[in-house]
Amino acid sequence: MIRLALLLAGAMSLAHAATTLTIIVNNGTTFLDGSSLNGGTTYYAAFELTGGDASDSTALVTGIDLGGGSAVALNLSDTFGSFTVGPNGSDPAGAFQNAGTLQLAVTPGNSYSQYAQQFVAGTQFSFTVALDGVYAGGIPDEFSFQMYDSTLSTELYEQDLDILSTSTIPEPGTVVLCLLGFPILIARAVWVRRSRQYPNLT
Amino acid sequence: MNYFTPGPIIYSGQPTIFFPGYHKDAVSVQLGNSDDLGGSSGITSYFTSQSLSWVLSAGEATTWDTASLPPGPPTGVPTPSALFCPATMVPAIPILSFGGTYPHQLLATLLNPPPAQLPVTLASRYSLTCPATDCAPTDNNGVGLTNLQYQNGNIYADVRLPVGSGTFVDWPELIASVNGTVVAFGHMPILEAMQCSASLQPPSLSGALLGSSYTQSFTATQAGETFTYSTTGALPPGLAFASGTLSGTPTAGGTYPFTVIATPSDSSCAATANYSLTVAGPTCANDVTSQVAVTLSGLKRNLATGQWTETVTLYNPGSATISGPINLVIESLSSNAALVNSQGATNCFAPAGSPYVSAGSSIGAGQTASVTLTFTNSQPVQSITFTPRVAAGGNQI
Repeated sequence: MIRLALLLAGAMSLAHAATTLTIIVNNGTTFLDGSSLNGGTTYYAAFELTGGDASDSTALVTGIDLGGGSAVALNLSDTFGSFTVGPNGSDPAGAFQNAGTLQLAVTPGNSYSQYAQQFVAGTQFSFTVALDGVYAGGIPDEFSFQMYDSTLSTELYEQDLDILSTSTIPEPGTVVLCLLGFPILIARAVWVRRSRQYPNLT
Repeated sequence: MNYFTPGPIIYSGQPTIFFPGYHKDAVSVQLGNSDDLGGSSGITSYFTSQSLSWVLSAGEATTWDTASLPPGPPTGVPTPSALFCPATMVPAIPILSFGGTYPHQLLATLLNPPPAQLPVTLASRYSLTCPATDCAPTDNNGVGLTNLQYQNGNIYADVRLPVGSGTFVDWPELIASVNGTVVAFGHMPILEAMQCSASLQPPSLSGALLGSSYTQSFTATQAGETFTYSTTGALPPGLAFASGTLSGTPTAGGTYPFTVIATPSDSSCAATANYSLTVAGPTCANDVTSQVAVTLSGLKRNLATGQWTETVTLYNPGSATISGPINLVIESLSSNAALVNSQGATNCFAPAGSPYVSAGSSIGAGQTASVTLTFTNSQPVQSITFTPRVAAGGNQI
């Protein structure tokens, strides 16, 4: 029965509905200092995931579009905590490599992940972020996207997304998995019990 | 006794001195000798017939009784104020007297009869003309007349009467001189009935709190006047009065009556007001956390400042306003964090020592109040945790 519980919990965890959002910054976006994205200018893009409650959360950033701009080589001192860059984790362009991805993760024991990288602006900077986690009460986990000047001294833009999903209702796919898994598990449990009651003496 | 119809008076060898405004038909001239000084008539003259002359305007005429002239000029230079402003002078007697002529000095005094009651209003300016090259206005008795000035040939006096006074007479004095030599001076009596208008502000005091800083300024205003302030009566212990401001930290509760006195620079128009200041003991704020829906945003770090912020929203779902002041108390803040924008630490609101931030004066029914908290975090891998509590009312947290 312990295995059954673990499998069920795992299936439900894997199937949490992710919140997906696309953020686009272009020259029509007014920055906090009144300026706007200026092609050819170097900026910092910073992705943060901050834990607050007693649950794990992840933020998967995909579809990063520099709008014709270019990446500046990642400086690891601009990062913190748990993050994964793909598809090539050793690419100096970091998450801004072609088809690059970035995943940030926080846990109650590691509550802050930060990934900041410079880039030379093109016509826009956009990406899609998928947030996954469950709100466990108290301070929610939060994803924050920020832009700064090239010296990280002036914040120019900020978008914050709290992870407030409290749903533990499995998605349809999870229901199918469970429907398939429950009979198997039950059958296996019965088989194990019978095996213990009637050991094969041969 | 010579009767003289004054007009433009020309002294030989001296500038023309005009004293317009007096009543010609009421002026008389009495010439006497130095023995008249201080006499009941208050008429005093010093002159020598050889050097004194005047030219009358067209239509003016006079006779001159030389029999009363003194035998010669007195020795020394008489003091104008002593000669011509005896204390016993009766304003009702119109007097014109001329001072003696000395080799390089001519003294003349014109004492005008008091005109009918002057239409003087509070703090108005009363003037007489002095065409000499320099004039020095003074005020004989210093009652009600301030700010005597000479401007463009006119002497101005601000007129002000003490509170509650009725009629009074004042004697602004004109001293005209040429190149430093006094050539004439005159009196212009003023008869008037006025009252001061200065009053002290504020009209009353709000209460003070035991152990909390208290400051209250008192002001009196009246055109052209500068006041100094003093108090009588017992001030609350811990408070002191200086330069019109009562300030300090009360150290004992109770009610303390005292009087503030605002005295103008000429002491003529003081304003007083009685006050009562109550020093109350502290009352602690109430815990209304259960009446408020508290929503916390996530934390984020500003890479430029290195500080962490989050927003706390307080919602009053009830049907009645929660009266303030409203303060968000950050209880059990994790040790890795410090609240940067703390406005103090709880004293009576348990547990003591928790930082708090103001959330406004009240939260109306169905209304929200938001507070942004700014933290430092010495261990970023550790989350910032705390328990929000809402304190309302009272005058201490």
